[in-house]
Amino acid sequence: MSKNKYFDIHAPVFYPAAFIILTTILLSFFFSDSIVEVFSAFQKGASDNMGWFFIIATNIFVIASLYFAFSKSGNIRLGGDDAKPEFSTFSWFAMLFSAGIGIGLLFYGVAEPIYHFSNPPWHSDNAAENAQKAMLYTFLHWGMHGWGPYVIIGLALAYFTFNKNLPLTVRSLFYPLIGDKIYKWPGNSIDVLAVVATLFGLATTLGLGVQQVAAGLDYLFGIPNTTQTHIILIGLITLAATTSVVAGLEKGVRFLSVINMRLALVFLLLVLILGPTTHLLDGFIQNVGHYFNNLLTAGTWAETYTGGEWQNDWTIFYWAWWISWSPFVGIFIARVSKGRTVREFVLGVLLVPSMLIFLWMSVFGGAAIFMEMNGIGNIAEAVNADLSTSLFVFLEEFPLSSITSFIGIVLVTIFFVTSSDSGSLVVDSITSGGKLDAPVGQRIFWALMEGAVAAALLFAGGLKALQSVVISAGLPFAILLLIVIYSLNQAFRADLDAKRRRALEKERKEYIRYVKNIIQSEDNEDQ
Amino acid sequence: MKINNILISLDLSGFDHSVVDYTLFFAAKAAEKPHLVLFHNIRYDFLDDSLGLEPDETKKLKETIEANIRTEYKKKITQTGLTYEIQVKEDNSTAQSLLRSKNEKYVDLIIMGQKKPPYGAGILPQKILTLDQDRTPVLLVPVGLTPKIDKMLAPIDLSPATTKILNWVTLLSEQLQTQSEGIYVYQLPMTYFPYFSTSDDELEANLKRKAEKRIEAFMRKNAVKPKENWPITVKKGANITAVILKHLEKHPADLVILGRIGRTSLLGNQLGGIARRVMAARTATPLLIV
Repeated sequence: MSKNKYFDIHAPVFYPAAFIILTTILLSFFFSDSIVEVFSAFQKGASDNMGWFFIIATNIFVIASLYFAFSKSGNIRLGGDDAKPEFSTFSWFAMLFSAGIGIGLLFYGVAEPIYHFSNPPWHSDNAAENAQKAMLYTFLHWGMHGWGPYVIIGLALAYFTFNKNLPLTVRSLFYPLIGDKIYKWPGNSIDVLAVVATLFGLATTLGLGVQQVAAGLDYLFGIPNTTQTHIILIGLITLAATTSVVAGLEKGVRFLSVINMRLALVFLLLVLILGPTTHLLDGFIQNVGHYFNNLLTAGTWAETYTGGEWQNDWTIFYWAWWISWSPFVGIFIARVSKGRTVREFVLGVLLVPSMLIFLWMSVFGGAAIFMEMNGIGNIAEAVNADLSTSLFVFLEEFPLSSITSFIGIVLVTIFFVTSSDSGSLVVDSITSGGKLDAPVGQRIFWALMEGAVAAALLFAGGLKALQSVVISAGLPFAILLLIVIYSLNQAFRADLDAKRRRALEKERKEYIRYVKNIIQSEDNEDQ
Repeated sequence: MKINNILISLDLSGFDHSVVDYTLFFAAKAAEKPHLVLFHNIRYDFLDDSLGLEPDETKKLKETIEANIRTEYKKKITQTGLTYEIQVKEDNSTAQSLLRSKNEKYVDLIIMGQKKPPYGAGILPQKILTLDQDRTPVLLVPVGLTPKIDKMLAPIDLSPATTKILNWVTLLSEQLQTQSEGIYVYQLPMTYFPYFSTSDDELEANLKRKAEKRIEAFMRKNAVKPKENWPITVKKGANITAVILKHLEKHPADLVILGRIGRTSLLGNQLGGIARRVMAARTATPLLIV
């Protein structure tokens, strides 16, 4: 392992990962279409034939998470019995959001409910039923089933890192299976794959973010929405992310996450107050109730008798997307969760974000559907034409639309920065052999690399190619996650059993000694 | 409220002396002397072949243990003028056996040692507290303690359990002539809401005032009061258990009286979260869980 003031590299991971990333960028310049074709075919094949597997797997993730929370394992504290949480509960929630799904919320908040409402797969002419089901499936895609994979990977990594002193990298997940081989080539290969998957995953999501910011700028200020604008935006945002990453987790990432969370709440309140408030609040309550009531039905719905491609395009796509992101988000969540109990961790990562997302979707999606049903705006048309402008078309129907749209752009931008900086911290951690705080030089390198990958892909048109690569990774990762659940359960049980058995054994030995003494003393008295 | 019968759970370890000494100190001060039940259940599950007992010796084990308990504690107990009896059981489940004896003897208080790893698993108190449908108060005595009750601490949450706690505080204050203090922990909404910062003194003062008013209203409604101007410390904190333990560390008390089930118990007879966590912290202070 080479180490100096600026770099602390775990060479067997750093160099192959850097090589693969650079080569892929080059290839995507020349063979973008072929890559898209190959991986799209794989993705389609996986969705067509393995949809049932994704559905059952996501349900297992949720059930396993709840089991860990409410069984005795829930009392295990990450980092040992005396560990104290590093961040306040609010900062913790803020970071969970910012790392994982902030951009997605803004991208799909308006678009998804309205899309399901206007293109329902359940063939109904009843607008009320369509609206209810549109919200149900949006909740399904963004609720507990989505966060389940994050819980599993995050929990396993936090436990193996803080309680078992293994490095904070994906290889540690395999410790119960391959033992010390995680420190040799099999472990290195796993980490190389994790770095590549994380960086490409980030680059593609950042690509989405840039498109939305550019669409917003075009919509608001008439700045042409061209590749050149995209690349300038990536440059600026990468600069901000680099600054944040250099400042570190405490000053940079946490600070930005908290600011953004507050801004997001202001944005949410603005839309709630300026929009049909009572209707939205009614909707929130009704949607949440409907979601929990239909959790089993919707969660196991497999489009069996109706046929069609809707579920592959949406539900299965989402499951693959959440799962393929789980190593990155999982490592980040693990990094910030030391000192939480398993119960706090699961409920914090599974339920709280889900409820906040439900509120978000009920406000943005609910308002959009309200407008559509009452003929106030034509958001459905805008969504069908271009998803990235949907938020701004929606906001135009509100008073103070220039202010709210501007807040929207700022939010996407900061979520972009926080996704990028948390991603860099994760990649830093993996390429330095699982260290929690990598040197500054390395942080800058990976933050810049991310920007470079996103820019190169946008320029070469390889974004779609990479997206299909990342989503294709969902299937193998889903299998991995199931193995992780098994090994984590074994580890928790062994931990609890060992503690209990040690104490019981001691008690047993002592008891035998006391009884022996009593018998002996009675015998002596008899004599 | 009276304490007529006290059950002392013995495990034959050296720690039994601490538990008996504490009970005698406690019981001797009572206005009406309680009757003591010295209880032990033989752990046949622990006794393997290594003991080398012949079959007829196993049969005699019960009498041997009973005789030993009598020898150990008879003198101590009779000196205090208390009456006692010994119950040695041979049950598969110690917890169930103890609860049966408790019912047979109309026990008002169970006293047991609180072992902590590595001295023992400490599972029995948890089981008793969870299984006992009558919610008989349990006093947990840490090992090697010199009996002394000069000051008591009573964490309250203004739930129905608080009334029970206050009854016990009143009873023990009168009988043992000790000081007592209440502690009420209020939670700040800023933990969950970002627009209140922790430095918002005005908000904090406001919340504290409201908490004090709630306590006043509760005390007014409640007929039982420990005494006029009973001191109650009002503290803020997100983690109630941590606040209680920190307070105990700074202002040591000789007995902590805790409610068995708090405000938010959804699980019926299960042990409440605060009591469970304070027990798990294994403080050096005896805990009376009512």
